[in-house]
Order: sequence, then structure tokens, then C-alpha cells
Amino acid sequence: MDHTAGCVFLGAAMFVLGVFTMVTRRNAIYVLMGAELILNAAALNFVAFARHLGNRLDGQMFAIFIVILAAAEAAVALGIVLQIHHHFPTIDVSKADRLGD
Amino acid sequence: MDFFQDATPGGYALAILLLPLAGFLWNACTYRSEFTRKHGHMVPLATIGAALFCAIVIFKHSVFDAEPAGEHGAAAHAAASHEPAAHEDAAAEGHEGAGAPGSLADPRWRWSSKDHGDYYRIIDTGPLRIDAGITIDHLTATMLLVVTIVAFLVHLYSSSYMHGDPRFSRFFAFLQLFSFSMLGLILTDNLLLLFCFWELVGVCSYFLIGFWFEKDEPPKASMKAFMTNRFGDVGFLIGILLVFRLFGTLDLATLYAKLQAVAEGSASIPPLFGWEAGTLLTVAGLCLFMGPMAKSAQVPMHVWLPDAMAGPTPVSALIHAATMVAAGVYMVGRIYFFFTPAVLGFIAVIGTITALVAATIGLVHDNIKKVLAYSTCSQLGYMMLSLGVGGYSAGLFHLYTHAFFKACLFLGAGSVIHSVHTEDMREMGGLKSKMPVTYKTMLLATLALAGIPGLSGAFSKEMIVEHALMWGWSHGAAAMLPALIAIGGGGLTFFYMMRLIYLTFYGTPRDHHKFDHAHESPAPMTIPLIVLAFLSVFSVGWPIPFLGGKKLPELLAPPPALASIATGHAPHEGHGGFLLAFAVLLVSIGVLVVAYRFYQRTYKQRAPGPEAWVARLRPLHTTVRRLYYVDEIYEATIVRFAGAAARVLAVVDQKGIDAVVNGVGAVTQVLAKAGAAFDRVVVDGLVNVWATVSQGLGGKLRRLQTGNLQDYLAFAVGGMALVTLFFLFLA
Amino acid sequence: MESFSFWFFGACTLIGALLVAFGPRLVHSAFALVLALIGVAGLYWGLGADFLGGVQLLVYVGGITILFIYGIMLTPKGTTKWSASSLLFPGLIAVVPVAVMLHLAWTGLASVLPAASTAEPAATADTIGRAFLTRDQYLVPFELASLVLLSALVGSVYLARRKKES
Repeated sequence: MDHTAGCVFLGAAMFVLGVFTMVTRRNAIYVLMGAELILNAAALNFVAFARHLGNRLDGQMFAIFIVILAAAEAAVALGIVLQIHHHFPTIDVSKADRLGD
Repeated sequence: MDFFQDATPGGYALAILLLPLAGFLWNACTYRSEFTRKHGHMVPLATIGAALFCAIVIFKHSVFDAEPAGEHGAAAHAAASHEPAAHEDAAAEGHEGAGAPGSLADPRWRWSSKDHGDYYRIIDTGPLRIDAGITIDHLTATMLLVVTIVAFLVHLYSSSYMHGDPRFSRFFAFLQLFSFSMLGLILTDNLLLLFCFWELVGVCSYFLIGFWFEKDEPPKASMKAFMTNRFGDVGFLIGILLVFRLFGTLDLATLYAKLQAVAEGSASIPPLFGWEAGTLLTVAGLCLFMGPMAKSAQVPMHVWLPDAMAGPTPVSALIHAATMVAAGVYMVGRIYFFFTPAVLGFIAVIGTITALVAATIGLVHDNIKKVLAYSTCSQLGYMMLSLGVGGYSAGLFHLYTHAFFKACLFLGAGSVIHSVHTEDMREMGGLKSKMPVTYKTMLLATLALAGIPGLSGAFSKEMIVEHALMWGWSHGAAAMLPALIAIGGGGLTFFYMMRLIYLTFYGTPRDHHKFDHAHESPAPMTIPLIVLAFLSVFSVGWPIPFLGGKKLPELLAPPPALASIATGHAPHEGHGGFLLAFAVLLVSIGVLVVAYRFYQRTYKQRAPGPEAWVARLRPLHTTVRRLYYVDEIYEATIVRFAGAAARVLAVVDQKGIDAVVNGVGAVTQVLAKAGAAFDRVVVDGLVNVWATVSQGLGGKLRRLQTGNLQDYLAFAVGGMALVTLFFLFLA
Repeated sequence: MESFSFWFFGACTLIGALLVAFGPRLVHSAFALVLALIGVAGLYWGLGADFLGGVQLLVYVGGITILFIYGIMLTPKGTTKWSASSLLFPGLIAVVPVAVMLHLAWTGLASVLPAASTAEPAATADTIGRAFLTRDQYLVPFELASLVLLSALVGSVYLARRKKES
């Protein structure tokens, strides 16, 4: 049975939830978690389509790269969060609006 | 060299015309300068003297040199040596045939600048062509001479009379302007230009009558003179328009030719307004005559002349005795060929009435100038009478002789007024001893006026009476009236003139204070008096030495062909003879005696005199004294009407026209306000809306920049979703 | 069997994602993330990417999640309140893809997708490994990725150090 559609849906759902988390949650860690969800959704999509379009390898390769880069990004992002925490007493991202009007 | 074959007369004529104009401009432009303020009379005197010289030259050549060297010329020469009694033969002989001296058919007797190609085209619109040229014939030449002589003498007289007046130079400027206008009127050959100069003369009269405008009388009098003249000029202008409509031209020579053609039957005048040719000519002639009626103070438009005496006496002498009022007579003489028998009859009637009425009024006035004014009016009536009954040359001669003695009388009166500082004869008397020159000259002029034989005035008067009698004889019983009135009027004239002389110069002085101050006038005033008195005596009827011993009338026989067209009969130049002259003389002497005795008895012997007579004839006396209530009639009718019309029109102007103008102004204001409002609301509003929108939008959109990362992210994702949707469903 | 694994692991993913998004407490959301990641790994296995599934478990669950736990540990609690003043805008953003998906589901995603192929699933670990090291395939990206990792490593260590001067 072909579950490609289901994987696509799932990817979409994960993407939406990840965006939702990023946009609505105040805690910086939540924002990172949302980012992870989004990345995973994309990777899932890649793999699903790779499988669907002839068992190719490209999607999987790309998904591996996504994983690699997600790891790098998570490390750096957490470092940034810690820096924010050092500068501001809070990691409430809604409070980081110095560039605003 | 023949003076008339080349353009030389034109040169002299032009000089005559332009010299006074130059004098006027000189005085007008330099009136502030020291020279003109002190000696403002010198340049005008020079110009008018030069004009006089030119007039003499023209006269001499036109009358003297232009004698044809033919049979008729010889006959005229031969006739010159005869006595006045035989004058008729020469005259009768001279007036047969078209080529006789004095006949218009002889081109030498009429010089026109147009024949030499010298004319100035003033208007040329196709149907209307006005060419200004100069025509010189006997009438012109004589008139020029008379006018320039009188003008020159008046200028000389005024240099002394007006001495010390604050507007001395302006007076002379006006005199010069008047001279220019009068001379232009004489010289022109076009009816329209004649009218222009006619009006200009009236304007100068207005200025000069109202010269002392600080006083009460002069402004009113000058306005009255001008208005009355304008009234007549309306008729004149209508006549001109009719002439143009009938003949298509206003050139006098062309009109003469056309009328000649009509009289011969080779051309005809088409009917107009339903009138036939004869009626049309009569109507046109009557309309044209309205002008002279006003300007020459014929009844009923004579009312301005007595009031015009409010002006300085030299003005009265020049304008209202010798020249301007004579312009009417001159014009009738110029256009004589145009008048039908009906019109001539009308002229005669008006002249007769004027002669009689004015003479009666002259009896009852005490103002020396007013008596002279009415005398002028009466004499003008005589001239019109003469012209009306066919006495062409008689009327014109009377014009010339009257110019001289009336000017003399006025200047003499001015001399008296200057001396005793009053114009009321009741305050004068006995000045004979104190002002001998004035007395003698005025006496001579009076005798000339009265028609004492031997003086020039007699000659012309006699000719008038003669013509009147002949006309009356041929036209029935009622037509004898003019002749009788002419004779009777002559008596009245003599009476009131002698009264004037007596009251002024004879008897005991009635106002001793004034009498003591009286003195003879200085030379510039007495010299003109002497010259004019001389001319009054000798100008007509006596042989003139330097013109070859001929008498003036022989040299200036009128063109007979003129009258024959309109009146249908050749004018007679014969006279009733010696008998008539004697009869007239008898009448004159009788009147003289009566007057002398009457006044002498009254003032020397305190016999019941004028007062008693006045009491007996109170109603008549008052009526005459009040000038037959003509002024009152005019006041009640025309003046009231004009005033009412003016008031109505003023109301119309105020309510109607001003309302329209104000309405337009109000509408414009409203439109302007609307425009401003539009600009404010709409145009500015648009601009403001733009700004407001930008500001509002900017203000609202600014809030997107929250600085909040999550918001930015939300926007990015949202945009991406929209784009995806777009491509998914719409692209 | 295949369907069961798909549904099971799909449910794990979905539930985990939902808990991350809507969970009240931060630590619960972190662990829900672990659940979601495990679910994704399971899905990978279901899709024939066995090596990828293993990598996912090792790296994501074993590495990144630990990082998150460390982060949670080292930073204050912060707030777990919702950030947007109204959830309208994020809600809308969420609704749109959901609606699209539902629409697609209704019309049948299967009809939109291109035809499935019937090729054999390849053995992955070996192939991927060879692909990583073949010059014409993914060698360059592989090396670059290792560079990125290195820089990320250095950078994050630098970033995370405690600042002496404040």
C-alpha cells in the first residue's frame, strides 16, 4: 500500500504545528523545537517522494543532510539562547523587540 | 502769370487757415512762459496780421486780376466810370449769358484746389468719400477779407482791453482758434467739413462767452448759446444726411452740377419715404436752414445772443456781430442753389419776423450791449429776408457792411464800458466831451447802420428793400409785408440806435462819479474804432482807389445761375431807382428828427417822457421788455422736458443698468466663492486625502514592525502560504 | 504490517507534534518532541530508508534532544504563556494549509501524485556510504557538511561560554 499521501499529510501537519509553535510560544526553547519539527517535516517529505518516484536515493541523501544541518543549527541556536539569557534576564522572545518601532 | 492757373492761391489760402491755428498752438503750449504771460497777444497778432495780408492778396487777385480780357470785361470796365445811377445798365448787360463776369460758368471766377489735384482725402469708404479741398470764389474772397480785417482789429483792441486779465494769453489762444475755425468754414468746399468748422466755431464761442467763468452769468450764457446752437445743428445734420442720401455726395461743386442736371431735366431725384423730388428738396433745405437759424440768431432760436453779451466785449464784437453769426448767412449764401422757392419763402418769413421782433426789443433795454445784440439780431433778420426774396448779393453785402459798423459799435461800447465801468446806459450821459474819438466813430457807425445815404450801410439796405419790393410785387399782396416791415424796421433801427447814442453821449451825466472817471481809451482801442468807422463809410458804394476806381458791388456780382436753378427765375440786380432811395432817406430823416426831439425834450426839459409812455403802454412794454416771454416758453417746454427725460434716464441707469452691473458683480463673486470652495474642498481635499491616507496607512503598517521575531516569522509564513495558494489554485 | 507501522508511527508523530505545540509545560513538550522524532524514524523505516531512520534516532533523538534538555536546564523557566496577543493570525496561518490538505485529501492526493514506480528498494547504508564518498555524487556536499559541523561546533562552544564582563 502506498502511504505516500499519508506521509505528505503528516509532513504538512508537522510543518503547520512547527510553525504554530514557533510563532505562538514565548519561550526560546519552544521556538527551537518548532524549528526541529519543521525540518523533520521537510525531510519526511523528501523521503516519501523519493520512495514514491522510483526508490531513489536523492531524497534520503537530502534528508541526511537535513539531519546534519539541523544538528549544527540546534547547537548554535542553543548557544545563542544562552547568550540571550546572559544579556537579558529572560528568554522570552516576545520581549526581544528592540528592533521594533 | 495767371494767379489762378497755378496753385498759388491754394498756398495763400492754406496759410490763412494755418496761421491762426499756429498762433493758437503757440499760445496753448507756451502759456506758462514769461513771454506769453506778459505778451501773449504778440504772436496771435502777428499771425492774424499775416492772415490778413494773405486775404488781401487773394482778394486782389480774385477780383482784380481775374478780369477776363474780353468784351464783357471791357463792358464792365466801361461801366465803372459811370455814376451809380447808370449802374443798372452795366449790371444788366453783365448778367446776360453764361460767360459774363460774375458768372460761375467762367472758370476764372472760381478756383478750386481740386482742379489742381490738391486735396486731402479724409474719408473713403466707397459710398462715402470726403475730400477736403479749398474753393475760392468771390464770396469766399470777400468774406475772407472781412473776417480777417475784423479779427485783426479785434486782436489789436483786445491787447489793450484785456490787459491785466489773469488769463490774458488764453483769451488770445481762443481768439486764434476761433479765427482758424471761421476761416476754415469759409474756405471749405465740402458740406460735412463746413459742418465740422461750424461746430468748432460754436465751441470757440462757448469758450469765449464763458471766459470769465468765475462770475455767475457767463457759464450759464455760454451753455445756453452752445445748447441752442446744437439744437439747430441737429436739423443741419439731418439736412446733410438727406442731401447725402439724395445725391450721394457732399462736395458743393458736385452738388451744384447735379442740381443743374436736375433742373435741366437730364437727371432726376428718386422718391424717398413716399415724397417726391420737390418735397424732398424742400425738406432738406428746411433742415439745412435750421443750422443758420440757430447760429444767426433767428427767431425763435435767438435767445442765446443777448445772453452772450456776458462775454468780454471784443468777443461780442468779433463773434456775435461780425463773423460767427454771419456764418449762418454765409452758409445760406453758399448753399443758395439748393433752396427751393418754398424754403426761400420760409427764410424770408423768419428773417422778417426776426428783424421786427428784435428791433422792438432793442427799444426797451438799458444795457448798451444788449441793445447792440438785438440790433445785430435784427440786422441778421434783414439779411435772411434779403436772401429769401432773391436778393443774393444784397444780403451778402449787408453782411459785409454790417460786420464793419457793428464791430465798430461793439468796440466803441467796449471802450465806453472800459471807461465808466458800467453797461447800464442809465448811468451814462454826456460822454461826448470826454471820449471824443469813441463818440465820433460810434456816431458814424450808427448812421451807417441807419442807412444814411452816402455811407455803406445805406447801399446794402436799399438793395434789400428793393428786392423785397420786387418780390412782393410779383408774389401778391401778402408778400409785400416783408418789404413794408423792412422799411418800418429801418425806422425802428434808427430810433433805438439814436437812443443809444443819445443816452450815452449827450445830455447831462446821470452818474457824476462815473462821469468824472471817464476818459478816452488808449490807442490800441481807438485805432480799430477809427479804421472800422472808415470802412463803415467807404467800403461799399464808393470807388476804391487802389483797385482801379471800381466800386465793390461791380466787382462782386453774384453768380446768377445759382439762384435760377432753385427759384426758377434769374435774380434781378436792377434797382427801383433813385426814387426809392430817396423815399428811404426821407423815412430815416423823419425818424431821426422824431427821436431827437423826443429824447431832448425828455432829458433836457423834463417833459413827460419815457416813463409816461411806459405807463401808458405798460402791458406792451413789459411784454417786449421780457423778450416776448420766449425764454419762459422755452423754459416751460423744452428745458423741463429735457430735465425730466434726463432724470428718467438717470433712474434707469441707476436701477436698471447699475443693477445689471451689480448683478454681474454679485454673480462673479458667487462663482469666485464657489471656485474657491471647490479648490479648498475638492482639490485641497484630494491632496489632503492622499496625505491622510499615506499617513494612516503608514501609521497602521508601522505596527507590523513589532520587533518581534515571531511576528516576522508569522508574516513570512503567511505570505508563503498565500503564494502557494495562488499558484495552486489560481495560476 | 506495513500499514500498521505507518499508522502507528504516524500517530506517534502527530501526537508528539501536537503535544509540542499545545503542551503546557516545557519539559513535557521536550519529551513530546522525542516522541515525534521517534515516530518520524519509524516512518523512515516504513519508507525503506533504514539507514536514515537509524541516523535520525542517533542524531536527533540522542543528540539534539539532549541539547534541548541542557538548554532547558540552563535557562530560566521563562513563560509558557502564548505569545501572540491573539491567536487569530497564527491560527489563520495554520488553517490555510490544513484546509488545503483537506481539500487535497478530498480530491484524492493519490490522483495528483505521479504514478508510483515499481522499482526495487535499494539497500541503503551501503549505497549512501558509497554515494557520500564518490566524487561525482555527494562527496563535495559531504565534505562541506563536515566543515559546517566543525564550524558549528567551534561556534557553539564560543557562543555558550560564560562572559566574564557583563
